Amino acid sequence: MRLLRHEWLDLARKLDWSYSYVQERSVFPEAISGRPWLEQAAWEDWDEPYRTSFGEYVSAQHEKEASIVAVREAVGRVGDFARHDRAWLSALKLHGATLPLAEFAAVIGNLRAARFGRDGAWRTMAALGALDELRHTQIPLAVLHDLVAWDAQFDFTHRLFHTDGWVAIAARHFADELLLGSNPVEFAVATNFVFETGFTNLQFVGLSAVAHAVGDRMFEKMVQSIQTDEARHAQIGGPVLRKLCEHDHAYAQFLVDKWFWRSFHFFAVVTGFAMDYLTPLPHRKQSFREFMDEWVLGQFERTLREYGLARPYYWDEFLASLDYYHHQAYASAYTYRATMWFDFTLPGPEERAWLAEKYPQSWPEFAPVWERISARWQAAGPDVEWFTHGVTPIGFCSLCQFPLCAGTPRRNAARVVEHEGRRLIFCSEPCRHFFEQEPERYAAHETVVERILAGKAPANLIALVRDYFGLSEDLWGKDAVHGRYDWLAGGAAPGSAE
Amino acid sequence: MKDVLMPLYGFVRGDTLGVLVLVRASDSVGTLIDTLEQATAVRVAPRPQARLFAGERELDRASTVAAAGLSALERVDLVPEGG
Repeated sequence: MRLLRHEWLDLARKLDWSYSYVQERSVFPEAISGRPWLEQAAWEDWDEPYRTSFGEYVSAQHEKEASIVAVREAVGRVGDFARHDRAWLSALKLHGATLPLAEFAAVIGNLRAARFGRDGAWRTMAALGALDELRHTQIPLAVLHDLVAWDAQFDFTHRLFHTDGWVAIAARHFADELLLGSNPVEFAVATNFVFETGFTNLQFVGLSAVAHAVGDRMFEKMVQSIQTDEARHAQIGGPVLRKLCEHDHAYAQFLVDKWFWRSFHFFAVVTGFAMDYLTPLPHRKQSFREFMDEWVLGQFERTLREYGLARPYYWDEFLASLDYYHHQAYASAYTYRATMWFDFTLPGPEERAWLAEKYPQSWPEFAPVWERISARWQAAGPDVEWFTHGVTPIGFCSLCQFPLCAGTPRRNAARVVEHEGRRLIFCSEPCRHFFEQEPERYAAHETVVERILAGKAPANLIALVRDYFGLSEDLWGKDAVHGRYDWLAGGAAPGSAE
Repeated sequence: MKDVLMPLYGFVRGDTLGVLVLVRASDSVGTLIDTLEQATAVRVAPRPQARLFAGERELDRASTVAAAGLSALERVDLVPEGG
């Protein structure tokens, strides 16, 4: 007699049994499976809403792969990409560098959960999640592959994670802990619940809308396809967090607080840059701040309440940073663009008017910075990149490894702390706080500044960029039009440069 | 005391990030101010009569970096006259 789907599904999907020859604690050691350690009976009610069988998974993924191939054949050629604005190509280089290998690290995190997750349904979904993340590694590599021979920066895009550029160091520091160093419980809360449910699942919705407006159907299709996978395997996070809240509420709150802060920094740079600076103005639908308000904040706060969790203790600081952090980071990055592998645009008068409208509270503090940079372009003339570029090394946070860009132009939030005879600097109070909660995780890591002072990296900026970050002159970031802005030639930017 | 090179984290009001500057212990605070202004000039125009602080403590321009009590990797803040 042939069984109906609902009769056989859980035999395959949610299979657990009592152990006769070994202890359950040996099968699922706390050091690998995570804490709190609970007997299997405590996990029996664990479930997720998708309840996908392997056959259904393969069938659905096959259709998605075929769809991507079709779109790539139609609009994914070099000539299709070459038509895009240079700033949008920079957004692709930023995403193309940070996405594939982070996704590959997520394969490993999922596979650990597929073995050491505490319930059969959790392990099944994690196994499908691992397959998802393999797709998310391979799709952007495939989609952007033909561009490697067309633009050397796209070649470096694929190499970034293997270099010691500061972006690669910061990305690895984040991804290694999030995806490689976390046990299945922390991985479920940090990756599935906070990063995917809280940020990237919604980010991909917003990004695909931006890509649609820009006319980049290939990128739009790619992130849509990835998002549908994320929406499914992110469902692991909720039920694990619920169990954690029942048994160790304080630990649940700590993990949410830590990973929301760490995820936000990464997200603000990647998505904040793309939405407020690298998307051509006529195609911008909403600002990064508006996107966060509409898509992230409300649902995240509502979800926390459902789990009986409080908003992270730094919530007010976080809300304030939505108006500042990515603007601080972009202005800083523009003036250190040779340390990155993609080009930057100088916001013109129309873009600044848009930013002033979207950020009425903070933009008056950033306008003078852009006026200053514009004035120096006017003084030097086109092609003189270094007159609008910093030449002094900059500081990096001892936790997040990003430049010291937290706070406001009026008051930078960085703080120096003594730790076991070593002087560390943190970009913000939460970065200090989370370092001090788990110093054994972070203390051995050296910032770029510590590497310079130890003689492991050169102090001279050009030598640092060339020899340590691996960026030759043809690769490193420049102004997208080398300062040849019509509005700049017309003297539209007030300010002075000596 | 050896005239060591001293790395300091510098923050200039109006700027968007913190920079790392190297000064000698024998350099004056005025030289440190000049170094900070040059390091950030791409984003912030130098302003006359800027004042340098280490925490809440204002540093005397004429003093040396060593005499001002600064030590490696300390934070200093450059603030224009009048805040």
